[in-house]
Amino acid sequence: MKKGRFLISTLVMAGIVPVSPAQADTSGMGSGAAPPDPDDALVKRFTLEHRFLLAQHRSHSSHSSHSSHRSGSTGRPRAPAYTPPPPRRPRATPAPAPAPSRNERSTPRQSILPASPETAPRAVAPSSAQISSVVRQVQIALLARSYYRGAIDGLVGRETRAALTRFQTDNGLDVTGTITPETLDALGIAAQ
Amino acid sequence: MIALALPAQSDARAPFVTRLAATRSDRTTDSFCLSSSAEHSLWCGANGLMEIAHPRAALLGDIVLVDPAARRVERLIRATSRHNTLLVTERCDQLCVMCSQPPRKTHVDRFDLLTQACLLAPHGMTIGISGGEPTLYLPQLLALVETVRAARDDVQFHILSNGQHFTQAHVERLRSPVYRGVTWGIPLYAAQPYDHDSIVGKQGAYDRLEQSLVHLLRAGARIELRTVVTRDTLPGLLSLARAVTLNLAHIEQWSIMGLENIGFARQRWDALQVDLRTGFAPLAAAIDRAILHGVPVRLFNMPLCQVPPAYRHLAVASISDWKQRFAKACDGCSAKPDCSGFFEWHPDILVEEVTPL
Repeated sequence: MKKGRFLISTLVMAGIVPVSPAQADTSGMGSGAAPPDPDDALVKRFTLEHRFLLAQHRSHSSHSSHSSHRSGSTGRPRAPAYTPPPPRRPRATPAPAPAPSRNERSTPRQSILPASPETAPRAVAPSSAQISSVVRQVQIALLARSYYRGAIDGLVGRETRAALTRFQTDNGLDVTGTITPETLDALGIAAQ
Repeated sequence: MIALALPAQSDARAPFVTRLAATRSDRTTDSFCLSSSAEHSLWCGANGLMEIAHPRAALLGDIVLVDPAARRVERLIRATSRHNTLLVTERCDQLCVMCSQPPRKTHVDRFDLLTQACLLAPHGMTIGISGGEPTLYLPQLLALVETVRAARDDVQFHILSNGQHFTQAHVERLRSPVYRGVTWGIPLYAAQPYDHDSIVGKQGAYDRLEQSLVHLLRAGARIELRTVVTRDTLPGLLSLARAVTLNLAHIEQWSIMGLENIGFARQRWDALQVDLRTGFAPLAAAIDRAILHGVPVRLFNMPLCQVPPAYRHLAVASISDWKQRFAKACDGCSAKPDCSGFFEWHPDILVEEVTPL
């Protein structure tokens, strides 16, 4: 009798014999079995959770690849790689914000990151003094070399683009139709 | 507040990405400064000229997306910041009640430009990817990650996703060593499907998320669960902690986050906001449970003085530099360098309710 019980529980522990519902019910509370030792019940409750966890995890093989994967990559199984450094250690402060922290607008924007271009409100044009001054110099230089006949208006329009393209082609530069550093060099316009 | 989008002009024909370099070099990806005033700087590179409404010094090293037609420059990656997040789409298939970045229907595919930007990132940088829902464009997203990580294994990604689109077919792909540098930040608001679904505004979201989590765990993916504390989620936090410790013990971190007063949460602030100083108890119980079971917990967006002392070591200075703000009284606080502070758009009255430590 005693031997038989011993044999069965050994097989159960080895996972060979299926666990009967009565035995599997380790929650202790309210099951018809003899009142268990409270410590024992507690241990069993934790065991239950543990088994549940593995079942929910669904694939035991992935489990091992999971852990080896992580420790292989970082050597620290649970190190939160994404998180900012642990608190209490002085934070590597990013460059000081130019205007520290107070926004005077009464209504914040509706979203945080810049909206995509199509839906973005048109930004107010900056004073175009700097860019148009360089474009004018380029137009004059192209005019002097007979690549350009349009107005010296500081705007890169179709004619300026065509002139740039021809000039870049003739001078073996990368043909972009835009004002590149090499184009400025070739036109003798000094970068300040 | 640091401006991430700046008015600009350029003679380029199409949008392009360039790094604003300190000196001229042969690198075709770089632009260098021709001249600068207090308000404007003029740059020149292989893609042409551009004038940005910002002085040179503040922009050096930044990787920017120049959009000539929109007449603006987006600072995609700021060299001096640890908080760089790329917005890959504004579409989303959930509608969370507290969404800080409400979705739009339009989508502009900029994956190629964003890939170029990531390839130029400073050494060792972690780049955030957000939306909208990035995994609505999963093929493009995975291609971006793989392209960048293959060339730059020092660059890491943190991708925010609602976890509605991972399937069995992704498991093998996500096992690639490339994804060791990728953490998936996934919101989970409740342990009960109905509660989670009503918060994210989509029926069946919880069940679909559960499937995705299985696929991600099988792929050995690094998962950060994120739970925003609102009046709706607070009562269920302990039950959620129980579910996380039971079923998701292999996550890398559980981030419990303060509410952000922007987007949808702004209209619903009074209904959603929890005063941490009086309402921390359910949160504490959830944290205790998680820690007891070895699940690492971090508190985001919570000023240190509003967190009970026993839990302060869990609170991180999580709010990105460009949207971080402090009260006047914070100047005298010894914990300020470690503190998240407040969001720029936090209600003024509440910001002043601080206790210098």
